[in-house]
Amino acid sequence: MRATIRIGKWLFLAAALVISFFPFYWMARTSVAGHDEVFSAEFSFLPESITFEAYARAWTDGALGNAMLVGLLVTFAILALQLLTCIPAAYVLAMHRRRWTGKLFGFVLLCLLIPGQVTMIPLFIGINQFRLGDTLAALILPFATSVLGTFMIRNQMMSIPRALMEASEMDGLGPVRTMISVVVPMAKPGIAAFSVYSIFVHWNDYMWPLLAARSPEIQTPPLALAIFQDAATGFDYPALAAGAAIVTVPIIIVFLVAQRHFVRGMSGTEITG
Amino acid sequence: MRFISRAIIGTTAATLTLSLAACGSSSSTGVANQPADGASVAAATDISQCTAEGTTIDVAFNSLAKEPMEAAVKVIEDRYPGLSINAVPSVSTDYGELTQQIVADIAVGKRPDVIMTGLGQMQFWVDTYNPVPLDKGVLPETYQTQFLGAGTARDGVTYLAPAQISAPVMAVNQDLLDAAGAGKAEDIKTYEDLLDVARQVSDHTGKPSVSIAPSGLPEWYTQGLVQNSGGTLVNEDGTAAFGDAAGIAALDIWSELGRDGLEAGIPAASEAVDIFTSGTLPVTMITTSNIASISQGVGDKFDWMPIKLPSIDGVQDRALPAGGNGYMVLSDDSCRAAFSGELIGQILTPESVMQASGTQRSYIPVDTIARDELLASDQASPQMTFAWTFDNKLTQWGGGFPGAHTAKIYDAIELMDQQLQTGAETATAVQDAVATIDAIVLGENS
Amino acid sequence: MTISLAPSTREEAATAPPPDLKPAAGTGATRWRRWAPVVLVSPMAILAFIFIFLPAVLTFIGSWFTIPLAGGSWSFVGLDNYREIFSNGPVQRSIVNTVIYSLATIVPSLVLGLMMALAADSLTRGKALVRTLLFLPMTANMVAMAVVFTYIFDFRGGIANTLLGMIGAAPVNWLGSTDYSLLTVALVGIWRTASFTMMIFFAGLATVPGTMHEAARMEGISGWTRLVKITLPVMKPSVVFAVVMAIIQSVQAFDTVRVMTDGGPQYSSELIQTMAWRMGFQYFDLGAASALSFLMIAALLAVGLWQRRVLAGSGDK
Repeated sequence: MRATIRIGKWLFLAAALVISFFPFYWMARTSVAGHDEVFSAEFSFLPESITFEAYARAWTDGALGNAMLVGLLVTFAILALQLLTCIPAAYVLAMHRRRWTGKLFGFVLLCLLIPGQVTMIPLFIGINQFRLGDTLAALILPFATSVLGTFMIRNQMMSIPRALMEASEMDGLGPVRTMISVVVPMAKPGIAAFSVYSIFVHWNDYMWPLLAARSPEIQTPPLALAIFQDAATGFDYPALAAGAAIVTVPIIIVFLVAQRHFVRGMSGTEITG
Repeated sequence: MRFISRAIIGTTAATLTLSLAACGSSSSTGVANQPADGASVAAATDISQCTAEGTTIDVAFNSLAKEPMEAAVKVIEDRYPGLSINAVPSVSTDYGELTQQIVADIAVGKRPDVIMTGLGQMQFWVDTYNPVPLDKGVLPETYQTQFLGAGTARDGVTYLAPAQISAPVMAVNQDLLDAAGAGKAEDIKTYEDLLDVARQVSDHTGKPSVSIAPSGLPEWYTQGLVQNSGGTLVNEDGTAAFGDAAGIAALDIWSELGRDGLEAGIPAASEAVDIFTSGTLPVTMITTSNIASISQGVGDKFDWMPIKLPSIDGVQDRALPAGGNGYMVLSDDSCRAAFSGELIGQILTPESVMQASGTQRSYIPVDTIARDELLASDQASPQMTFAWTFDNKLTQWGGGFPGAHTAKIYDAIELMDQQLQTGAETATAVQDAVATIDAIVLGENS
Repeated sequence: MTISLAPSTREEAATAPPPDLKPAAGTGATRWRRWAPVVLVSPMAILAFIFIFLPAVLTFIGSWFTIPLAGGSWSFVGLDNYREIFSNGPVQRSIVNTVIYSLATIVPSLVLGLMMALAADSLTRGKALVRTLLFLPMTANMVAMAVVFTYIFDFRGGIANTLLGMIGAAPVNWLGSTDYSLLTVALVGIWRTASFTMMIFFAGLATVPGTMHEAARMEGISGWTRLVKITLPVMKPSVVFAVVMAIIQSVQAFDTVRVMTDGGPQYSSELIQTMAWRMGFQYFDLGAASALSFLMIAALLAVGLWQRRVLAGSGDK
């Protein structure tokens, strides 16, 4: 009985690993195979021949260098603004419980349920009213705060004993300094978790940049990849896969670096250790 | 409680501000659209009366025409010192996304002077945004004017200059036909021929052998099949015309392939091209613009050939819908319209057409000098020659369905195509689509 | 990268005290102390109001008008837009599909995520590596990855059908048939979301004190009972968080569907989100698109209100 469970567990884990990883393998395989192999009649696990030509094509034709710089700038500007707005808000929502903070938290939850696509049209019109269309600001501003971030960080802060905060405010530390030097260090896992999530989402966002960014100078990585999806003459699959691989690497590095904090923060929990 | 009430007051105020702002801008762009105001429909004036200095021309196009546009912009800016042309290509090559971007620009008051558009969207622009009729005088002498039919709207006026064009055809894998002893590609002329070949190959391989993909270019494939067998897509009044006997007979091939298990069931046109290139699909409907990339992908792996669409009676020279793109002028100022016309003329010169049709892409060259030069090049394989010399008469993509509803109508046709592909009863599927389209056109459902 | 914004020691913070603060007590400080919460919270509140709440309200307002994009003023049409979307077959189909898609992705994502987390957590070696590999799907650029999946699920040469062939099953037209297209995009949704919930559960498991497992073993509680009676209740905040994220991920399924099926064939994989996009940016019927969008917001709000106590309760002990 126990042995069966054990074997079942191993099989499950092996299957999960294969399924999680396989599409990435296939992307890598496509990126180094020739174009004619992509829709090859016979399934073969390894490519017939390996060439890195698609990477060169992706890098130059897609102007990925510039796109990744823009992506980096946009992603981190968004993250910085979100942390600057979400951390104080989360701090107040977690530590200063009054009637109005309860209502405000209700507002946060309400906003959490509004899906991004449905607000895109009014947002687009609004951004253009203020003549911000096709600027970096249009890519950044709409995401200057995050209700999900507020929610996540607030939940993390709930795990900090309020007595600690009260004591430090009693000691003459103002609310801002209490927040920065007492609460934030303890909420680091939640902040890290949200940061990584935010980076993932905005680095890979396609729909909003497609509407908001027209000029090549401010094209983000997913937009740059669109050039290989030639609607009239067919996709350049190897270049698309190579480009996707190039733009995925920084994200994986971010994840590896932040992993330890991230995992702790993901629990969204009040119990620490 | 106070927070809530304040929130409500705040929302109302802010909303009002925003919507007023929105209305303000809409009405200002609205002015440009009123034919009564004369601005946008004023034909281009004589260019000698216009000052180039300080004039800016905005061009909206996509990266399919990047190189020829850059060259043309340079020539025109040199010809008219002081004129500046603002031409930034959109990265996406999807014509739908290009239209979205231009519409969004106009909605916020940035109306471009010259736009590139997929030929399927021409009627949309004509009916919604009052473009300036094409000044045929700007076209080079060697321009193949028979293609202007693709740029002529249902009111008979030519608004658009076709630039990169293509036509619906089929691609046949001769090796797979040979293996089944199914004859030669060029002998497929009637629907019966096609069915015979499909049956023989399927008997040999045990797999479906023909693909007519319903997504990607639904209305265009449909129009191609209908017109190629003598039917009509659209009535004079803009309602659907393909519900008649000719239309149903023309489309029945699709359903029959499905019913007999000969249809490969591939959803999207681009996917069918990819699978054909891999060498496993005997026959597929394609556009002539696919020929270059198929040639590249196939190399010498197998022997293949594009053929004209088979028809119900074997006649293969009827008018077909033109695919691809072209340029039109949306300027709301007659001088900018004149400069815009010059730019369009420049992008249709033989050199530009060489770049646009080129060897990477197999568009039908719209210029005779460019065509002859391409045919004399070492790229002129039998397949590419087929594309470059395709000479059926070409008509408007979409056949003149009212422009305000084209996207909705095309979706209704796509639904019908998807049903036909699975072998649905042809008359029922066609009549359902016709009813949906007529309801949209006559305003019962919009 | 968060560290630079959040000094981790008192010393660092002390070297750069915020200029608006006086450490000593006094009337100014008292007043500040009273208003500080409001000041600290307002940037978030104002921005969320402008960029999230207000557009949603505009969506609601827009749903009562026809909005000509080419110019001209809005005209009030009452309930016409709602009438139109409710009488429209494809829209009805998209509503049903969205419900099916949500159920088909949310629950399996949670269950599979939990199973993966439990399996990975029980490893004695290579935990971090396994965790990283299992988390990969969340890092994917879905526009590019959807192309890979289109290939995997290709009817003729795809790997999914090659595998089915190996076990002797007939090939399935994953993306091209009305029976399977929704299932196929849902599978991709699960692929992605399960990796995310796995990570949340994995982190949650780390919060269950080892002593609890010891105690459970002493009392002879193990396996399923231990999971349901001890592990899950202790990591309840993680469970709530995972549920919230699974819902959000499911509601935001968009890129995958657009690239893989574009809602087809015959609207069999059309979701409310893609349908609203189609109406707004392809038909340019902004009024009807707003009505459909607002319908979705309303439905989510209903679910949200129902879940509110659970949500607010997370960590609220």
